[in-house]
Amino acid sequence: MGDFNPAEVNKLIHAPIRLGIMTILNSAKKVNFIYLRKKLDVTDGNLSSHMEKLEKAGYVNVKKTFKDKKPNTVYSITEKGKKAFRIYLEHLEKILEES
Amino acid sequence: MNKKEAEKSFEEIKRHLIETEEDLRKTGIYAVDIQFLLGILVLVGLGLTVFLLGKTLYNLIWIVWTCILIVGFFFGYRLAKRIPLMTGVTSFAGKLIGMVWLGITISVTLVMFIVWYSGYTPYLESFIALLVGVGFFVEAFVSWKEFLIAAILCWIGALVDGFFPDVTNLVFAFLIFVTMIVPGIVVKIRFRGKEV
Repeated sequence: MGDFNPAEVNKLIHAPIRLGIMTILNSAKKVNFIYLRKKLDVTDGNLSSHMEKLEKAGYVNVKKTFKDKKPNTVYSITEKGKKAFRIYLEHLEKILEES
Repeated sequence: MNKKEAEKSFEEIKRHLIETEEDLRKTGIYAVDIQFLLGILVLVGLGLTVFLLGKTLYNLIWIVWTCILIVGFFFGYRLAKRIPLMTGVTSFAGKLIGMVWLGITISVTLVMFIVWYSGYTPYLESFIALLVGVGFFVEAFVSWKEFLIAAILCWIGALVDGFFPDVTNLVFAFLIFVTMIVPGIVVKIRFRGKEV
């Protein structure tokens, strides 16, 4: 961490909505789409695009099921996601310590 | 990223953590339904046990309790499965509590089979109260602190049951009412309209 460059901070996680998603998923085991949408106060499309980015990066797992004939999408964080989030927090700490 | 941005991100993380933790605690409102159901079933079981003891139909007692465990397990499982669907969130703590109670249910079931094999003992309720106390003890540390009172009550009740086997059913019924039925009613009233 000695040669840490602030520009190296994980930009995928740093975006406010994705930071919220990663924080929530890191503290809960599983959350569904509706819960995230409500908590982050975003539209369906907006949340979907953020989730897609996190899924592509391998940070989240997606499970699609049905609840009363309606789709129920459940998300959970992967080991890779947990590690990335931990590193992101370490970087934040480093920035605050160095300033 | 500069210091100001880092501070802002930290604040966001903190806010989300606090909110999520609060929501996860609130999922306990739904979990209390399971306790309430099991409490009612156990009280019914105790009533039938007293009735069967009075009629000296000892061999039927284990059947009553096996049926109660099956019914409790079936509906308890259904209620547990309903929690993430209703709240949209599943917690590690909730999973842990669920597993602890499942372990206790399996242990109680095994005890029932031992009782069926070796014959009824008035110390049965004492042993079950000890096991239930463990469940509340764990729950107190991962969910609501108030459950610590329930754990202590169960352990005191187990001692009373052990030392005064004549009143074992009465003590056990009191324990179940105080630790399972009353919290169910209190939590429902306290969190009415504040569900996740």
